[in-house]
Amino acid sequence: MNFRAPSKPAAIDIDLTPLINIVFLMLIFFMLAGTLKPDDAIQTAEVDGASMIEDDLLVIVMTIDGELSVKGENIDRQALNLLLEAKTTLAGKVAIKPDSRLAAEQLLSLTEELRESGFSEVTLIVVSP
Amino acid sequence: MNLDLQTTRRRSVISLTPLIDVVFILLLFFMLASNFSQERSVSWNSVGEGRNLMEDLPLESSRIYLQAAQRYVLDGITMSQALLLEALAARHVANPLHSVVVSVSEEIDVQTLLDLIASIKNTGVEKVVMDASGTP
Repeated sequence: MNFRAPSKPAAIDIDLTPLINIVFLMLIFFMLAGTLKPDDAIQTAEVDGASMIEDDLLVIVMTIDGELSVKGENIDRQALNLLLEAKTTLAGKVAIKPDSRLAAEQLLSLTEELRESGFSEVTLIVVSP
Repeated sequence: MNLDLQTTRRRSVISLTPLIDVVFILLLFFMLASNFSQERSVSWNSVGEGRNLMEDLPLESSRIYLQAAQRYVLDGITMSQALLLEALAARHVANPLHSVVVSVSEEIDVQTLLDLIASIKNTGVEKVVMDASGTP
């Protein structure tokens, strides 16, 4: 007579705790350290050794086709001029965020328009490579 | 005699699978949507048509015309970037107040222009100004 219990193969028990720990850590890292991509649909130019952005800047985004937008809304030149007039009275500063593939000439002509509107100091918004 | 030996209380097991599914989805979302490059700013000086360059610039300045990528015209002579930077560095040594005026042709994009300005500033030249009139 065989009294021994039939020997079952031991079930493989994978401990998921370390995996969940790491995944949670990565999740928290990305949530805290990253910022969500802005919806500008442009490829920002890269410049080494640029300085920190000042507060209170009016940022004009210029796409590859030379179209302008401010705070995510497309605007035409007329609307921009109205905005700029308001900004001049508040003595604010203005910055251009150009697409890196935009024709440099178009960027220069917008800079010139800004100068003529009274903004002697124009900055460019770029990213560090 | 109590023969009912099978009535052990069932352990309640919380299934972790839905939690892990959701956490993975969140992780993927944040990994793909996050952006770690910080925006910075550079000053951008330009002079336009109808403005006298001498109002803004010291007496001695060099004019560079960026004809195409890797084709630079300094004082009417077309040269490579290495030669251009060498010439500008020499002029900067001779006169530390020496400044540079850059104008570009139609085909130059913003990144090429910014790269050129960064390399000119690396030679020690402090004042680099863009000429918006676009003339060579």
